[in-house]
Amino acid sequence: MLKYIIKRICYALLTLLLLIAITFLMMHAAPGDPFARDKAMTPETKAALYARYGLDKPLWMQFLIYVGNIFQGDLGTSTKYGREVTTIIGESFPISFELGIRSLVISIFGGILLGTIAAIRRGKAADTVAMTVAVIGVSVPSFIVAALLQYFLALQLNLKLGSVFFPITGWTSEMSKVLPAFALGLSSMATISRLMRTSMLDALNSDYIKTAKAKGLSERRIIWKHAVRNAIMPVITVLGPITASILTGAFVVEQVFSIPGMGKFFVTSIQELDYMMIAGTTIFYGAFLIIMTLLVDIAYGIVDPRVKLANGKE
Amino acid sequence: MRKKKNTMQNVSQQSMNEVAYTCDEAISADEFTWVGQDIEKGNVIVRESVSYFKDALRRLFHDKVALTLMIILGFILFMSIFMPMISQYSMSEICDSHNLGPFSEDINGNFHILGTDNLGRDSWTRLWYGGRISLLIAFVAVGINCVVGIIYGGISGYFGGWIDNIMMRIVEIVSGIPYLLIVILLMTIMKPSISTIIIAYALVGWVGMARLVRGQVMQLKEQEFVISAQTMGASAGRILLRHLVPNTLSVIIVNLTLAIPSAIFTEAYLSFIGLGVPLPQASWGTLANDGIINFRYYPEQLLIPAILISLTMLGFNLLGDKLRDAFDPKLRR
Repeated sequence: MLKYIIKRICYALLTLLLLIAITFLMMHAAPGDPFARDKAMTPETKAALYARYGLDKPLWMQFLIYVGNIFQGDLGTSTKYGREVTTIIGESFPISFELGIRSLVISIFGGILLGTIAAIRRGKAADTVAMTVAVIGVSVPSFIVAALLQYFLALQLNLKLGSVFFPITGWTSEMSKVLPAFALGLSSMATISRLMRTSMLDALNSDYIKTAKAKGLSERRIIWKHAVRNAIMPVITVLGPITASILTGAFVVEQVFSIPGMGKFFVTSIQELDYMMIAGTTIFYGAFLIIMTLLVDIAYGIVDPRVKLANGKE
Repeated sequence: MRKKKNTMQNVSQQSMNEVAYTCDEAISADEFTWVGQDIEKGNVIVRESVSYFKDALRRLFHDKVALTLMIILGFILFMSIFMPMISQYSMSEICDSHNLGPFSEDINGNFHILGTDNLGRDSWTRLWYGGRISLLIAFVAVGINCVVGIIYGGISGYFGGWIDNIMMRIVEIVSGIPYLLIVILLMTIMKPSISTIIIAYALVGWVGMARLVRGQVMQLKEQEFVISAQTMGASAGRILLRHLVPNTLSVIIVNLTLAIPSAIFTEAYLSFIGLGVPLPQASWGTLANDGIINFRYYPEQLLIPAILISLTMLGFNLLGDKLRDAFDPKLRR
């Protein structure tokens, strides 16, 4: 088991290094000049600015300095805002994190519930409804869901009721957090429910369920204690990709609902070509996702003994 | 033939019923009758032989849902290809009436099926032009992914050993990076154009296909037809392309169908955060992005491209599921 964990950590580190290298090289190859937008300046001023941001050193040295800084928790200074990228992340990430956690909870519980109901009522109306919801959830991009929810459940509903039920934008009251979290979580919920249905059907056909039935356990106990517990395993494996999709989806959902999270800063920095900010945010997001995937992999290895066996053989 | 079979069955049933508990008693030869043998008829091929693909396709075309999906997708494809050609407006032509509603005439008395956008361009023409760009990006990007993935996965799976080891470690490291981040990074440093989106997507999208093909090839390469090809002196390239890849085709096709909606999504997503095709070109993603500005007053400007994006993604997702069912031998009845 220890060998497996060490192996996973090594891969995660390599991936992170590759990500940093790619980001660095791309930012270096980026067209334009970070100071081109400002007023015309003398060569001396320009040289001084270049020296200030360390852009006059050779490429490899810049890279080493960059990597060194990152591991010290310094992601550089945003050329647009003139502030440390880490400060901006520190301010805006908690909001994005809260949004992400809310959507994750919605998608996991909603997905497991939908998938389980669909599997138990296989071929019946409930199954068809649940799977239709799932296919639609997978097929409609999150920003469209966000815009539709905003229009119908915030704007139109408020106009009908004459009072504010779901606020249209912002991230202040509890009610204002419902729609963004749901819009962001819908597609992941759909993915989980489809996976859950398949693995639940497998579980329901297995021998231990027959044993449980033969023992005379109640239907509810069989489903929730025996079948769901075993069927939940594959859901753990998709938690990594789902975290990724929720994180990247948050960029646009935050944009639609005007939530002052990190996604909004990221999108703005892309539009403004604020390279330090883009690079810093990318590396931060990348590291976050890589660590999440690592934790999921290790958790799965601990929970499911078959993974341990397969890796022991290698 | 049939007659003979029937008599045989009758006899065996009789003996089963009567002599069930007297098994040691020999069955006498009189109980059988010789009905003759028609050699001519024996050689007649009653049913034409059905290959694996024909069988799968037949099952697909007999499935009403799959057929409907294919008709819808075919319609969208057809309209995207031909509508911009035959439309009386071009996609960047501006008329004097802005933000017209559907089915209305502009100041000059010209009819617009879906009205005009906020610059007075014909929405109907732009909608299908956008579809053309979106689908083009999706098909080309997925096609490139597919070719690269097949070659990479094929080589890795067929040769195995240290080659496989190194190649798969690379895949593992690359796949650890969230692909949307890399695509966004690439898009920020390259000039926005259709080919940029395709390149950015293709650079990271091949990993999944490579893994899939490798797994399939590793399963197949121990089989007899590969060994016999090797004995006959076929080169590795020939074995891969002529023997192994065609046998993994069903898995590849299913995966291809499911990869298209993800490519459409990526394009729409990039357009939405402002990294899409440059103006005055349009894709469904940029149309949706433009529509969101006016959404409050002209909801149809967002709704129509949104519906088409969703419908296309839905169609390909469901079709992929149906194809998997059709190809999967385990599900055969």
